[in-house]
Parts: sequence; structure tokens; C-alpha cells
Amino acid sequence: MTTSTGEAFRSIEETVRATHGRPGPAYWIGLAIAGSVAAFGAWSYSLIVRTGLHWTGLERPGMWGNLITDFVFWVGIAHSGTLISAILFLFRARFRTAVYRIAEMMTVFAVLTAGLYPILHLGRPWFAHWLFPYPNQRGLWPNFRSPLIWDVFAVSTYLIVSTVFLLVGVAPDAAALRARATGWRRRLYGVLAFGWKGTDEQWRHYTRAYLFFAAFATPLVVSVHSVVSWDFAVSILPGWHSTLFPPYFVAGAILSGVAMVITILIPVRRAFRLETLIELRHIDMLARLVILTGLIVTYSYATEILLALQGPAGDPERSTFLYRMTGPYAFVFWTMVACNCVGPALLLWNRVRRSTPLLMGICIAVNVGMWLERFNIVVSSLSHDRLPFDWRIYVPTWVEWAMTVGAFGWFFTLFMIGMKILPPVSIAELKEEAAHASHEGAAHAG
Amino acid sequence: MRDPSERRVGRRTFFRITGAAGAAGVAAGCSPQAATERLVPWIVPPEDVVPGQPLYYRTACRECSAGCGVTARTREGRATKLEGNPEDPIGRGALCARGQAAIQGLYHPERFRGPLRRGPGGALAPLSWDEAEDALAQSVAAAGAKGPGRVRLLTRLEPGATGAVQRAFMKAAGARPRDRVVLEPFDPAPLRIAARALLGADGLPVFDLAEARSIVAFGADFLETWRSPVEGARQLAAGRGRLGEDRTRVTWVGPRLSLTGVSADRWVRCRSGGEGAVALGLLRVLLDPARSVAVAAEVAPLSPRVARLDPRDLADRAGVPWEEIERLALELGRRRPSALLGPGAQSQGAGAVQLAAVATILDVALGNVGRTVFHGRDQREDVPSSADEVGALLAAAAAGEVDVLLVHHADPVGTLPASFHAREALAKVPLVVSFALRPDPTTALGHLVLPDNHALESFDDVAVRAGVVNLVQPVMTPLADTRQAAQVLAEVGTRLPTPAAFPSTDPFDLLLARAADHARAALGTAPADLATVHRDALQRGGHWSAPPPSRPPRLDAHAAEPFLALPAPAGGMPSELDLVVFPTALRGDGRGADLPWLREVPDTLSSVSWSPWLEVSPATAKRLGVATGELVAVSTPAGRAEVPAYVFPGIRDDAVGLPIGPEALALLPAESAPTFRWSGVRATVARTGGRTRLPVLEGSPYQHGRELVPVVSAAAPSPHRPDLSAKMYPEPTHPQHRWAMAIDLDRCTGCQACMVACHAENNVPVMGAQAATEGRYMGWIRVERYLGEAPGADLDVRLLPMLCQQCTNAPCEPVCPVYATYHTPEGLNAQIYNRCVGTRYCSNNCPYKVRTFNWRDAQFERPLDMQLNPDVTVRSRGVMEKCTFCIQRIRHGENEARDEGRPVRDGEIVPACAQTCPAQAIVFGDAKDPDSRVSRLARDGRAFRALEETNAQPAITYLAGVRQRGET
Amino acid sequence: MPGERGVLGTFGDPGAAARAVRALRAAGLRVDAAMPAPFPELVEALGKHRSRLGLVTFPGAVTGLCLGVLLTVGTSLAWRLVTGGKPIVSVPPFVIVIFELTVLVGSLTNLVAVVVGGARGAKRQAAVAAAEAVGDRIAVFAAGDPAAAARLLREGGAEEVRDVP
Repeated sequence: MTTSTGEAFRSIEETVRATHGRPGPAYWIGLAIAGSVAAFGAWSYSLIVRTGLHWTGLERPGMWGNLITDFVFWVGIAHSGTLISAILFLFRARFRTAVYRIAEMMTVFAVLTAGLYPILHLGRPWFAHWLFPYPNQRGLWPNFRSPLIWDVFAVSTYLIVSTVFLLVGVAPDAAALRARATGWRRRLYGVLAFGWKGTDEQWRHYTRAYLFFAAFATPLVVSVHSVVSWDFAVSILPGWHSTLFPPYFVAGAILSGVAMVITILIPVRRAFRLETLIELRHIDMLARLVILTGLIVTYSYATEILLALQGPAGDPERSTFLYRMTGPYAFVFWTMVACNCVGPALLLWNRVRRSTPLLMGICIAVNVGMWLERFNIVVSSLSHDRLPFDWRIYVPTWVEWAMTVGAFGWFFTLFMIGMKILPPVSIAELKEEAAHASHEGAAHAG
Repeated sequence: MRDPSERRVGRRTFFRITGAAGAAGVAAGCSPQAATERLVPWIVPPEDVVPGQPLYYRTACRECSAGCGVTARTREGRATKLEGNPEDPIGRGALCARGQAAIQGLYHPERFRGPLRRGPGGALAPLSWDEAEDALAQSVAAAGAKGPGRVRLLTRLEPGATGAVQRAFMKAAGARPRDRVVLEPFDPAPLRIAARALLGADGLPVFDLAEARSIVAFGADFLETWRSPVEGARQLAAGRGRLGEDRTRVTWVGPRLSLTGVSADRWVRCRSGGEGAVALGLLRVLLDPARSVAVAAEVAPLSPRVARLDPRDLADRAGVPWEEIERLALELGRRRPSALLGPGAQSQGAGAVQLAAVATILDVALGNVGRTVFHGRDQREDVPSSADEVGALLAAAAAGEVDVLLVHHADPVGTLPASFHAREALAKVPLVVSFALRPDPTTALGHLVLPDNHALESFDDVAVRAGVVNLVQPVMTPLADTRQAAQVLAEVGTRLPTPAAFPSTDPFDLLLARAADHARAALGTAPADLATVHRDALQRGGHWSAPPPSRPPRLDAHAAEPFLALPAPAGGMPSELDLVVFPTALRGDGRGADLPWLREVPDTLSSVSWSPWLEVSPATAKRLGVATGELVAVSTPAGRAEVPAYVFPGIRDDAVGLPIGPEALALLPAESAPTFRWSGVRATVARTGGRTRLPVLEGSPYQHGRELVPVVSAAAPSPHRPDLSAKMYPEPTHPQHRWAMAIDLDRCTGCQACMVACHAENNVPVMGAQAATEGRYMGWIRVERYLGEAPGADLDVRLLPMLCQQCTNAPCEPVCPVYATYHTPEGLNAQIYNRCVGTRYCSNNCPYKVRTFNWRDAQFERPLDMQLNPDVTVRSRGVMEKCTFCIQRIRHGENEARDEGRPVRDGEIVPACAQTCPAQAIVFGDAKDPDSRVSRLARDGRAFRALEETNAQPAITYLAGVRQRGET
Repeated sequence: MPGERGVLGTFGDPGAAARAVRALRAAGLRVDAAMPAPFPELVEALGKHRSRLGLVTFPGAVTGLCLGVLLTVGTSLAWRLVTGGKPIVSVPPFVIVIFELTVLVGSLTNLVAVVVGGARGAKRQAAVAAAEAVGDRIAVFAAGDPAAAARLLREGGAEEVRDVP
């Protein structure tokens, strides 16, 4: 029995170490595809840097388009990680153990993607640093009344905190992996381990600190996407100006984030032989989260539309929502509804939820739907504002599409590299679980 | 060409007027090249040049025959902006879009840099002025020797020194008077003919619309191109300023709602060519004894003849219900004086002379002559030739009877209907001499190109009308090795076998020689010292005096008889549509329509720029199965053209409208009539299936029930305004000034002068057709045009000039992360370009969408960049820009006041748009001063603010337009 | 304490280790432990007081809050630019920035605290820091009376008992 626990510990470590084995051709092909997609996106962007934003389809009144949509989308993706690791930690939800490391990796890489796009869409990106508060010869500080500055603070704080959270979680595992690692891995894990020895005093500080991190991260998660929603809600544009936005956006963010986690977990656990650690029941729990948030999002859509339709005939708000549902962007709207409202609802059936391909399909659909939701909010409101004489339809150009797709390339490049370096599951916590299990086993045996 | 003596006959004259007109000093020391190239600073700087201080010259506009006075602003020796001359009786300080764009003709990149001769290879090669003039002298001498008619001159209207020189030259060349042909295609010749025939009066009548209580425009777009549009707009505004029954009421008669029609209170939708019938109908009602309307006695004899006209026939010919004509007639009978204007290009068809005649009779009958319509006041210097004479010249050329054809600022190939076959005719002429400034279809056939100086580089005078002579003087040294045409003719003329007797070959002297007559006309007596009088005139801008009293002409009733016949019924197949060719405020008669600003600024009615368009009514569009942007083929007996359609409810279902331009000219017939024929042509229209992205600015032309542009009427004298008493924060305070603007929509005619003025003053770039299709027009001010409530609702055109509203609670400001835009203590919504990083959130949050973004770096092709206003930054790509209320002018005014130790006077500071508005619809001032004009207007009953419910607290107050539709 | 003499026993099972620890402590020996994961029963058995990390983290968060107030209010007052007719010190938007800074500085101090605390722990408990303790074994170190400690560890089911150093 004593050995069995040790066996369990060893097998966990082995499984994890196995994911770091020499990558096969499939991995290299995947990495090559992701890398080249990212590179093409970067090249397309270089056109804009060279001669200006006329490469985009943007035109008055629509000054924002794909790039801002991408920003909001990726910030949304970034939400599940911290949600799963922090909030579920505080709620003591056991199923998180198996999945939170991948979710956290996803978070960090998603923020790294999201953070790029507000900068890329600037007219003069080479002055992006002016948005950060630092003493400068102009004697000018940023305008803290601007939602864009809130973004700067929220997103950069979120990036730092979630990165710290990830690395702190990794430290004990790094120490464990270091034991049998060689070469650069050994050195790297040495650094990541922060001189971790696992003594009881270290563990006492560690568990306490981890609790605090969770306590900080939880309101942060909520705040970040609220701030992103204020980018729109604070304006006076019909279709943007709504007090519903913060909860609506947070729910949407979690929906897209969890959907993305599932989308990634399903192939990853197979490709990296993690079935034993990341079990179907874990994924099933995540699917239930999708249902919950999906329902909240559906409710938000309904509220928003019904409130708008209360308005009198000439009301711009009403006009904008009718435009969304019937105008040239109607297909965006209805696809969005199908993906974000119907899709999650289908998961209420156990048979749908348990079937991996269906679950995978629905989660991908939800991600498409959530991108379209942001596009719908950003674009359709702008192109149908208060002065009808200015109304114009925005159509993204190939450059913008290249950058949008490039975001995925960039994200998956980071992710695939991350998978080969960081432990995809929390070894320490799994060991704790295993010990717990065997202990109970013993209790029954004894 | 570098030999200075060679270059500067003109320069000597400059020194001379430097002595004379003190202001002109700047031009001497620093030619523009010097200003831009000299690296060594002046040791003794010319005292008139204060770097950074503008210098103003008075001159006159030569873009159309209206001859408005111009004030040219120069900086460091180069002209940067044209404005009206406030003392000039025609423009009164205003200048239209075309007049302001003239400066782009001066700096046009394609301008000829010196004389050119077509070599054997067919290419134009430079040569020296001496060679060129010798060549010309020899050819003219040779041709003249063969007898009269071998040397011909085709010129634009030149009512001044140049015209005199031309006539003297032609005389010396042995030509007959009729060998000098004046090409002015849009001259309302029918009106001349009618006035001559009925009243024995020479020249065109001059109108004073301010006095008129009713104006009926038979296709005469007197607010766009007809006669003197700037004057027309001002006079109409004055008449509209009167309240109650005395307020001028305008009726537009025509198949198409023109911009002038938009300003009218009533649109009589007669069919194309039906204007004459409408006019006759009016006469029929007014002379009907049963009506017992008081009419002038001299018209009475006509009543039996008119009584024979059957109202039903007239209504049928006119294409409008008789009741409408009747109502209008009775109104005219009641509301006097009135003015009946016509024909204009849009109504100048087969029946044009009859229309002109009946309109003249109506003016006499209603006693308008001598009150609103004045005969005998037109200038006598020069008269446009009839279409026959032009045709005759071209025929002679085609027949090889012309050896030398001098073409002076006329473009027969490019501005005459193609069916005149000017190209073929000119090809037959051994020597075509062109004085054009830059290449045009005619210079392409020219053998000798002797580029004239631009009007802003020349001396000349323009006799506009009796008592008004505007003087043209150089505002800067010529950019290139060009020479004023008058000088060339004079120099060549003196070398002819029988030399012409010129006082001098120097344009300044040629002008001075005429000054005596002008002065005598103005003062009544010969002036003691002409030089002083002339200098004062140059500084003032012209010789002006009250028009000499002319005895009111009497109507010859017998001569009137033939004009009272019932017009012929509409001919042609029912499948065909009437083709209405119309000029626009930007295109004018087509000359100079290629100037960048005029192409970039969207047409007010269609919002199209950079492209021709075919106006098609919704019903017709449905029948043809075309939508806006789809290419349609228009064909007439004369030719065929493919034009993108523009669906426009402001045109009859049996007509299509096409702006003047190559496409229109390809379709028009060459009439052997005394007048050019622009309308009354039937065309077959069919869809081609092709389509283009038509560069239209408008999104939706409808108000969608949002009450964006309210109007007021006697019933509802004030627009509805939301209650904004609730405040969340204390309002920002403005210690010294709070700059504000008021725009009177009742005065605004949508003439777009303000838009061009803004381009000129604020270095707003021209981005081109591609950008226009992408909706990336950079203008800081635009005229939003709404056609009605919703598609299919009745047509109710309303204009809303839209520019930055300089809000107190500007939504654009708080969203900017880097303080690139903020609220200044003077109440302006400042935009600091070099702080801007281009997040573009400000534009998203601007309810008025008046911010424009630099999607790419703007190009100012040399030497157009010399026009740039040095007081205004040229924005780089990636930054947002917008109207600043002409901050540079505000600062200039404030500094002037500070230097003189006094507060800023109301009306002292004027933004470019307000300055040039012909209708004076825009008023600028300090809202903190309760007595300023702008404050008083803000308290007006008609006042409202755009999108007031957003509580942005704009600094711009609009005064709602007044509607008296239906009221009689 | 470094250099302190004592006995180290390794266990495969947290339960066993916990029992041994209790026995050792009952015998009045000072006990340290090292483990691959924070097994609750063992931590409980060690019966050591809770970490006082909060004493560092909380002031850190408060510092962040003050920084936020200073940055937002201070810079706005330093150059009074009116935007959108809103007051120079517009509290609601500033609160957002202040909150973010509180979280940021708070968690960064928390990080510093845990790293420093961890390093000190490792140093003070160098004796128990056995290589396998980060892997699959639990190390229990007992200081003082080596003989008794060794006996108790063996009785407790230690897989291996050795003297350190």
C-alpha cells in the first residue's frame, strides 16, 4: 500500500514527463502551420505600418473593425484560465485540478495575443507607449477618464498576475521534474523551481500565498472584462451605450473561454496521452459551465433587444437593433444566436454532452459565435449611428482577415511550445489527490 | 530662358505698381522660387514683407462672366487663398466654390512652363518667346495677306483690356469684326434676343432679387451658375430675411429639382421643354379680363391673342395641372414686385427664345422692369457670339478657309457638343495658336502654345456691368516663363505689316490707358491725376459708381405677337426620355471642372464626387431595372455615353438628368439656331449590366423619423427642443471667450463655397476618387442632404451643413487616452495632432461624425504645395483631424486686438467658411458676449441644435429653415 | 537550523508519515518534514502555526491603492485639462485604475513574500530537504536524541532512516 502511493506519484510524474518527450512529425507539422499563419499575419500588418490603415476596410463612421473584435475575443478567451484556477479554487471544486494548468497556459498566451491588437490597430503604433503612465518630456500623463487607459491597466495587470499565478503553480512541479531532467531543461526547471525543496515551511507559505493569489485574481477576472465592456458601454453610440454590458461581457468571456479550453483539452489529452489524468468527467464538468454561461448570454441578448425595442419609432437605439437583425449584417447576428444560444442549450442532453465529437463541434461553434458577437457589437453599431447621412457598411479587407487568422497562428505557436516546456497538469495537486484516494482506499481496506 | 531681361517685362511693371499700390511691394523682391530656394537672408529686407504676416491684394475673378471682386491673401510672395472683395458691389466679400478653386489653376501641376511649338514629330517642343512671337507674326502677316477671314480668333468673353487688344490686333491682322468669335456656351442668349426684339434693349437684363417678393426661375439656376450666382444668393437671402408676406417666395419650374430648386418654396414639375408653356399659362391667367388682375397698359393689347390659348393645351404642353399654373399666376398678381428668370441651361431648348420672350413680357406686365429687372445695365464691352457664329467659324475652319486660328481661354473641343465636330475642324487649320494655361483637348490640336499668365499674374480689367469695372492685378510673380496674352498680341501686333497702334505692349500700361475712361465713367469728369485715382482703384479693387439712369424700355406689342403661339407638343417616342443636361455649382459650364478641389468636393444634391452620374427617378430606375452605381447607356441621335445611374426622386419619371461634362457633350446635337441647345433632347436609356462603385458620400438620404433637420412655419414657429435642465456636473467655465457659431438653414443654399474655402484655408488634402469610393473624404465641413422621412415618402429636401460642433460636453474628449483632444478655456474642442496616436475612439464617440482620419499620407503635388497655408499644420498619416473654427484666424484676431490694447470686436474674427458664404448664412462670434450677433441668433425662435438630446452642448446653433409650402 | 544533527526518515505514504510525526512530537522531538504535495494530514500532524504572509501582502495591496490615488488624482491636478465637461478629479473612472493598481502591487508583493519566505524556509530546514522529497517520498527529520528518533521512525514505517548530515 505504501508502495502504491509512491507508484501513483511516480506514474503521474512519468505521464507528465512523457508529454515532454521528443516531438513527433505531427507536432512539427502543427507547429509549422501555426508559425507560418502567424508570420503571414505579421507580414500583412507590415503593409499597414508601411503606408497606413488605408489597407483596412475601415471608413467613417466605422473606425473600428476586425482588429478590435479580435482584441475583445482573445481577452474573452483569456478569462476561463483564471476563472478555473482561482474562482474554482476558492469554491474548492475538485475537478479543476486536472484541467487548470492548461487553462492557465491558455490564459497567458491569450492575453499575449489580445494585448497586441489594440496596438496593431493604432494609427501611429510607434507611439503606443504614450498610453502608459511614465514621466515624459511632454509633461503629459495619460487621460485616466478614457476607457482605453482602463484597458491598458486592466489588461497589463491581468497579464502580469495570471503569469505569476501560472509560474507559482509550476514551481513545485518544476522541482519535481528537475530531479530527472538534464541539460537546458534541468537549468530551466531549476529557475522555475525558485529553489523549491518542499519543506513544510515552504508549503505553509506556499498554500497561504496561493490563497491570496486566488483572492486577488478573482475580482481581477471580473474587472478585466467589465473594463473591456466599458470601452463600448461608456460611449454614447446606440448599440454600445448600455449598462448591461459588464455582466454580459463577463459571461460571454467565460463562455468563450471555457469553450476554448474544451476545444483544446479534447485533442491535447489524446495527443499527449493524458487520458489517465484529464478524465472525461473533468471535461463534462466544463461542459456544464458552458451551459450555465450560455444561458446567461442568451438572457443578456434577450434583455438588450427587448429593451431596445421598447423605444419609440424614431429612436436610434431601436433602429440599430432592428438593423442588426434585418440589415446587411443580419447573417452575423443570426449565426451568433445559433452558435451561442442554441449550441450550449443542446449540451443539456447528457448524450450530446458525453459525445466527444458533438461536444467538440459545439465548442468550436461557440467560439465562432463569440467572435461574431463581438464583430456584431463593434461593427453594426458603428455603421448605423445617429446621422443617417453617414451610414456606411464596413467590410474587412484580406489584410484584416490575415491578421485575424494570424492571431490564432500566434496563439497556437505559443501554446504548442508551452506544452513542451511546462507541465500540462499540476503534478503536486494530482499527487495530493492520489494520496487522498489511496488513503480512502486504505480506510476501506482496513 | 534664364536671361532675366528676357523674363521680366512683367517685373518692371511690378516695381512700378510697387511704387503705386503700396501693398504690392512683396511681389518685387521675392518671386516664389526665391522664397523657397534662397538660402542667404536679405541684407536689406523689403519693408513690406513681414515674415509670417499675410499681404492682401485686390483683384477680380475670371472663372465665369460674373466677374466678382477678389481679395488674394499672399504669404512670403505666394498666393495662399482667394476670398471675396468686401467692397466689390457684385460679390460683397463672398466668393463661390469655383472662384476659390481658381488658385489651383494657378498652381496646377500641368501648367505650361513656357512657349511650345509642335515639331515635325508631332510633339510639343519649347522655344523662346522671341521665336514664338516671330513665328506668329509671320504666319498672321502671311495669312492676312490672303485677304479677310484667314485669321480668326476664338476667345472667352473678354470685357476689358484684353478684349480691346484682341480687337485691335485682329484689325491689324486684316480680319473682319466677325472673325473674332466669343465662345460663351452658357450665355443666356435667348434672353438677349428677346430683350432686343421686345424692348429694343441691348445686352442681358440685370436683376435685383432682394426687392422681389416672388421669384419664378424657369430652369435658371441663379444660385449655382446662372448670371451672377454669388449675387443671387446674397439677394435672395436679403429677401428671405423679410418676415411675413414680404418674405421672398421662390418657385422653381423645371423637370428636375436643381440645387436652386431646393432653396425654392415650390417646385412646378413641368416636363422638359414645358417651361415656355408654363410661362404662357401665367400670362394667359394674368391677362384674362375675367381675373381683372392689374397689368401694365402696354401689355393689354396682347390679351385677346393670349385669350385664344386653351388652358388644357397649355397644361398638356407643360405637363403640370392647370390649377398649379393658375395658383402661381394669381400669386404673382398679388405679390409684387417679382422677377421671372429664364431660360437657364436646363431650359435652353428649342423653345428657349419664346420662354425668354414670355418671361420678359411677364416682367413688363407685372411692373417688374425698373424695380427688380433692369435693362441697359449690362456691360457693352464684349458680347458672346451666337451658336450660329461659332458654327460658322468651325465650318470655315473645316472648309480650310482659316490659316491661323488663335484660341484664347476657349476650349471648343472640350466644351462644345461633340456634334459641332470642333476637333475635325481644328485639325484642318494649318496653325492653331493656343493661349491656354494647361493642356486641354484643344491644345492637343494646337501647333503653337503661348501660355498666358494666370489671372492672378496678370493686369486686366473686367467691365461687369454699367458702373462696375473690376480690376485684375498680379498678386505674385509668374511661376513659369509665361507671358500675358494681351502683351503677346500687342507685341505681335506691332510687328505686323500694318502695325496696330498700342500705347504700349506692357499690360500695366494697356490697363492704365483704359483707366481714364473708367475713371471718367465713375467720377463723371476726367480725373485730375489719373495715377492716384488708378492706384486707389487698384487698392480698392475697381472703379465703381451708381449705374447711369436708363429710361425704362417700352414693350413692342407687335413684336411680342409671334412669341405667343402655342408651343409644339412633346415629340419623340414614348420609350425615349427627356435628357436634362445641367451645370452644377462646382462644374459650372465645364471649364476648370478638372481642378482637384472641385472634383473632390461632393455635389450637394447627389453627394457624388469624381464621377459623372445619371439622375434617374425611382420609378424609371425600377422600370429600367437599375440601381445607383449600375452603368446605363444613354444614346441620342448625336451620340452615346455610358454613365453610372444615381436614383434620385427629384426628377420627373419621363426625364433623366446628366451633369455637364464630356458625357453630356457627346449626347447633345449641334443646332443651327442662334442659341446653343442644352435641353429638349430625347434619349433612349438602357441598362448595360455593368456596375461601378459610384463615389457617393451619402449613406441613407432619409431622416428615418429622427427629426434631424426641423423646419418652422407660421403654424409652428419654433422647433421642438428637449429639456436639458438636469445637470450631472458643473459646466466648464470659459474665462474670456466662448467661440460659437450660428448657421441659418433658411439662408444656406448648399452652394459648397464653404467646403472649398475650408480646403484652401486648412490644408485639407485631396485624396482622390479611390478614397472617395471608400468613404474617406477628408473635408472638415460637409453639407448633409436629406430627401425626406423615409424611402417613398414625399420629397422634402433639407440641408444641414455639418462641421465640428465644438461641444461643451464633447463626447470625443474623455475617450481619448492621450489628451489629444480636450476642451480649451476658449470653448474650443482642440485637436493636438502630434499627441494623437490614432485610436480613433473619438470619431466613434462623436455623434456628428465630423472627425476625419488620415488613412494614408496626403499628397500635394508640386507646385500645388505652394498654396498650403503656412499657419496650419499638414497632418501626417495615422492622426485624427477636424474643424478647428479656424483657430489660426482666431489667434490672429486676438493678437491684433491685444497689440491695439482693445477687446476683440464682434465680427472681427471670421472662419473661412463664414467669410466666403454668399448667403452669409454662417455667423461666428463670442457666445460669452450677450450682445454678439451669434448670441442673439442663439436666442432666436428658430434656433435648435443638432442631436441636442445627446446633451453634448454644441457651440453651433442652427436656425431652422422656414417653410411656406402650400401657403399662398 | 543548519548543521543541526538529527535523523531523517523517508515514507511513501503520507498517512504513515503523519503517524510517525505525531509519535516523534509526543517524544518531545522537534520535527520538520518535506513532501511533494501539501498532504493535509501531515501538515496537521506537524501542528505548526499558519504562515503570516498576509502581514506582508496586505500592506503591499494598500501601497498599490495609495499609488493609484496618487497617480490618477495627482497627474490630473498637475495639468488641468478638461475633457467632455467632466470634473478634473473624476472619481468613478479613477477608482477603476486604483483597483487595478491595488491588485497588481498586492500580488507582486505576495510573490516576493512567498519567494523570500520559501528561500528562508529552505535554508532553515536544509536538513530535511531531501532530493526525493520533491518527487515521490516524504521526508521526516527529527532533531535531538538520534537513537530515539531513529527507533520511532522505523516503528512509524519509514522505508529508510539515515543520520544527517
